[in-house]
Amino acid sequence: MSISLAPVQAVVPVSRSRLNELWNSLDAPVTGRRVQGTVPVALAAMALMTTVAVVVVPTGANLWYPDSLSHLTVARRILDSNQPGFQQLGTVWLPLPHLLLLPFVADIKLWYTGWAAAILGIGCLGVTSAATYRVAARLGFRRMPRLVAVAGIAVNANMLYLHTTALTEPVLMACMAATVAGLTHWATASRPLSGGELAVYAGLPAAGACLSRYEGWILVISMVVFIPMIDVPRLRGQHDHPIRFTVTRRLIPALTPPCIAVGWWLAYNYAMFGDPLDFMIGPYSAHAQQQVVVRQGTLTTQHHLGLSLYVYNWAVLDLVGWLLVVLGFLGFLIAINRTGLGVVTLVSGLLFGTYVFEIASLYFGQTVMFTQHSLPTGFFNVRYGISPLPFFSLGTAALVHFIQRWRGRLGSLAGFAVLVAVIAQAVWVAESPVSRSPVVQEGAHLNAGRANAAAAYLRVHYDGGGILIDESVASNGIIPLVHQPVKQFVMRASGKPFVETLAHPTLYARWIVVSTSTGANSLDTPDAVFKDMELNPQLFAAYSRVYVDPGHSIYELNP
Amino acid sequence: MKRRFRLITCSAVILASTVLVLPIDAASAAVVGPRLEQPLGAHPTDAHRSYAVSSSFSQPSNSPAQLIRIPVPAGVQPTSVRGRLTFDSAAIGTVVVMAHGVDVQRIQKRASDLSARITVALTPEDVVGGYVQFSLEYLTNGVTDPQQFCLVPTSGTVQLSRIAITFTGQEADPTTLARFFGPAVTAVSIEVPQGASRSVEAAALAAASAVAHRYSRGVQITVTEPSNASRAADVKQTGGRLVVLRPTSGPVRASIDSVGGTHRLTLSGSPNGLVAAATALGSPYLTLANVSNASSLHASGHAVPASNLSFADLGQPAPTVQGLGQSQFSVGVSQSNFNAAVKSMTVHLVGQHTAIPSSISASLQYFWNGQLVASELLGATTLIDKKLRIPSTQMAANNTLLVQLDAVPSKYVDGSGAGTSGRGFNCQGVASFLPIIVSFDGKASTFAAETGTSSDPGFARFPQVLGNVLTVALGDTSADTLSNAAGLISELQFANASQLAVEAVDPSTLINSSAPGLLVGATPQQMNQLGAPLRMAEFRSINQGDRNFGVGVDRAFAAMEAFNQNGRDILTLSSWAANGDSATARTLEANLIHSLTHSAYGWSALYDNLEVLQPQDTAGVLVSSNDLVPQSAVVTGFNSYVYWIVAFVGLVVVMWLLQFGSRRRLRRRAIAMVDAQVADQAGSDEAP
Repeated sequence: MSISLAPVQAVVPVSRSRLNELWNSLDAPVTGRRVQGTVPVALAAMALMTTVAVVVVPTGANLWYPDSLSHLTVARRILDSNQPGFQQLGTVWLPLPHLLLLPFVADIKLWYTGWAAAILGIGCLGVTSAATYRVAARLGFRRMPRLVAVAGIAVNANMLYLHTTALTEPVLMACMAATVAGLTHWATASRPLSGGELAVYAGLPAAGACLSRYEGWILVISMVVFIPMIDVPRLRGQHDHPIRFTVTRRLIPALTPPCIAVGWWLAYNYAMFGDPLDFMIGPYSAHAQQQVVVRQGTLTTQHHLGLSLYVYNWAVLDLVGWLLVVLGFLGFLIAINRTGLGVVTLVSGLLFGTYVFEIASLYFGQTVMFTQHSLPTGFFNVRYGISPLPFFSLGTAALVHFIQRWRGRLGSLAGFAVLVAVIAQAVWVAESPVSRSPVVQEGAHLNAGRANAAAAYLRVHYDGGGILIDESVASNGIIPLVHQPVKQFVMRASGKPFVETLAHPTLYARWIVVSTSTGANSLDTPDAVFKDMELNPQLFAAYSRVYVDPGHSIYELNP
Repeated sequence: MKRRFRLITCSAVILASTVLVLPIDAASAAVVGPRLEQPLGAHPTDAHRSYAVSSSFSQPSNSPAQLIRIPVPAGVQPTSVRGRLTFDSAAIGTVVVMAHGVDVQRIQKRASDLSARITVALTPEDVVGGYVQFSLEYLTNGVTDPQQFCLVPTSGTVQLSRIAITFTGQEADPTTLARFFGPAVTAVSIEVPQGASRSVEAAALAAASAVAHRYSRGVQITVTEPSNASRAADVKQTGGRLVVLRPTSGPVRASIDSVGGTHRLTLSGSPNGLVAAATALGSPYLTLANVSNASSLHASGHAVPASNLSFADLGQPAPTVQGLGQSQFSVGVSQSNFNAAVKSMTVHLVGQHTAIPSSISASLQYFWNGQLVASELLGATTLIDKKLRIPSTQMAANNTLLVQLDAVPSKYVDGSGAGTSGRGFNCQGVASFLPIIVSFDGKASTFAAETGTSSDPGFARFPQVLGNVLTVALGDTSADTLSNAAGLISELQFANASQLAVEAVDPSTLINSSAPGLLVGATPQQMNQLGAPLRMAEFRSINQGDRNFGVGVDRAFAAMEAFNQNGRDILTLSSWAANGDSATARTLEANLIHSLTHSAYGWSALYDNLEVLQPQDTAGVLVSSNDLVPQSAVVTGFNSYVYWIVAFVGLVVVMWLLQFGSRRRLRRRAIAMVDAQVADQAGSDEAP
């Protein structure tokens, strides 16, 4: 038997040529809708994210954020709960992330390990990276600035960690990036895009952003400014009424999908909870939660612009990284200097909208952030600092782009140096993520206050029967950790059964999990079940306490 | 151990900058010899007086008896020692007190007993080398001899405190500088003239630090002026010492005498010279001053950071663990041992152990501050070469490395069972088992420190963050502020391994410098300048339910704060009263310092970054400034960051204007060029 090396030798040049082809495609000019290199970039980002997920998910760190567990539970209970259905979406959070999680959380193991969220995160990072690449390409950037734009986002350790969780940032980022890509396409297309195309390319992802997080709504407002600023100047001389044309043929089509999305959300709130603004001022809204902070007197950013800037800017520096912030800002200034209010500047400005939104939210007291630079210090919503990452990443790419235009080789070298620095920064954070990544640190901090031990007890000892729990208490957000179907839980989201169980616990609940914390110094409402136990001890006389820790107890119905 | 380390560091570093000169009229003992042989003062002899000893001793249950040594002033004959035993568990047991080789008292502890009193009659043979010696043993759970057990359960600890020595005779007057600060000193009062200059105040504070460096915590040290003499330590008691600073125009002189039964050291000389002389009081070389009068007494400099210390440096020249069952040794290492704040540490243990026979299983456990950090089975090789990495999360100001040997027979010689209990087995081992010995090389085994901070800003960062240099500023010239500063400095010094070099500066100098330091009696303006977490204004806690204080506009308070300002750590003492009642506020400051200096554990008991004392409190409340509702002065202090927006918008506008101007210029040039081309074209068209 003889073995021929010929096929192997043949493969090598083919691979090399494909690699060359791939490498060249990253530098190819944009032709119409096609932007070469999009798919490889998306696949590379997804491969990176998959690697991160494979490392992180088995550790359980992807479930550290209580909100992450809650998002998984909200998604799962649409399919699996006492009263399954879309009303389980609730009003606390916008619905799209939960809807996107649905196909994955249907599998119970994917649900309770958090892989469901990680899979969605892999897809989101792929979309975000590809969209960012397309934005950079359509702005006329060459290969190196395109890669810088993508790497700035996809090789950020904080960003990667967030994409392993079920938090809503990944979906928002993907939708925003897709929207900006659509708008950039429209703004740079040699053939004017129709209103319908604009609605599809930008309006639909904007609708997704609107249904992901409220930053998406700001994006839509930014679009209202962006589209006329691009369109009106170039229509002058071509149309008698450029503003009217822009409004009717561009703005309205582009805004229709997000407006429908927002309208649907208001209608949903009205239909399900009797108030179209329930998401904003309802009992479980962020506004209601913040009243605790207001009462404590610790909403210190409210009406203090200086402190709002200080707190948020530090969060941005910590999460985005000094390098990207400095270079990105410099790139933005140079873009203004070189192009004025050109497309590069306006697209960057579009992304800058989230920064303005966060500052305004802090100043008006709509958002609370506790970081190591807030008053008082703490860990709460630190992750909001990641929102302007696309702005700084694109700004850095613009800087490289302009250096490249000025001195071609120097620009490539600068881009390469930025790439190396971004990767080195990510590796440095990965070496000790809990101490070096603020979002991981926040997750670890929140995880430390959660009833993990109680969940472990229930996971081991549960042998059937209903589990009564007030899941609205943050430290009680342990449902996935018990590894049991959600329908076994009787909780606030169950609606009427929850009320009935509080009145007749022995009929429906074999297990009771309560937070015994007074809640005096937390953002939580007191545990409704524990409160009921204190007020009506006779109803719970048939239960024995089988587990206790300083913050939680588990009761089991006596045989 | 602390003294041993002082010797090492001082000999290595301080010597380079320390000059202790004793050439005076006492260049030879012969000059003053006759006087030295005579007592400097005479006292009536009292029968059966007593003096209190501030030290306390802790004895774990079922541990080998602890030898307790209490220094005795020269000239007195102790007749008995009294003390109070405090138990921290409900175990039933017996406390055995042994003196001169026999059990002199056995105290039966019932489960409900929390404390008991002991009185031990002493004989002359109980005083050895100037120390009263007796032993204390605490046995519980039916244990009668801990030596017969290898693994005995511990059931809490008994603490001996409030010790008083009853004695006859009279304390002999110290005749030389070397003996003035003997081991039996219990209180030192440092007096300065009323309205002393800043240099004399600095000398007094340096003296307080120097004296505190000589002694462990428990010796009362005060600095007073005549106007607040009531705050002075009682130095008329046995073991009391008075140090008087007297500024004169001449060179520095030190002399000792006795006035009305009080042993006095007078330092006189130029104010600047007094600082150096006062600093020399902490020098180990003071023992060379076998004279009653000295001149040119001075010392300066400070120990510099060390990155490596051996076990021998820290008092363990040849640590060994041995025997079957469980045995252990520990090494205490403070961050201040390195003369710097320590971020993390690497412990390198080098040693040998005896060959382990197959019939025995042995392992070494390494605990850092009570937490297991490493473990290894013995047997594969007799060499021990172990490196332990201690991260910042496990670093404390004072740390303990505990090495524990666990050795158990795999099987008894008769083939029955295993373990360390049962018939025929004791800690010395059954004869058929080979002895297990693990010896560590005290010089080769080291602690390597990485400098940096391991804790959040707060009291825990002091004193190590000072790096042995204490820059101190007094907010005003009142006598109480000076006394408060002395109280704080002595507590910091007690917690610091090396002597602190005290440098007195003006408040503005401290505020504008980048050095860590101490500001005592800070004004509200100074606290604002420093950006203190708690400003001198009304405040309230975030969670009123969890705190026992809530300050309103009409309630004064004093506050001690430790915080980070522009990258350096600052410690402040200040006070506030809504109605400008500065007297009440100052009293609260003094009370806060009194509660600190008279607390059981002193500086080491402080945590978080803020201690607040209100008029109704007997002790300060420790709290994190993060648990307070940020005061308006703190919040508005960030208003200047609004200029970020101004700067950002300004930059954007400037860039845009530059681009706009550039574009206009280009357009003009283009138009001019086109016009020129058109004109050229027109010209050429018109040409024949």
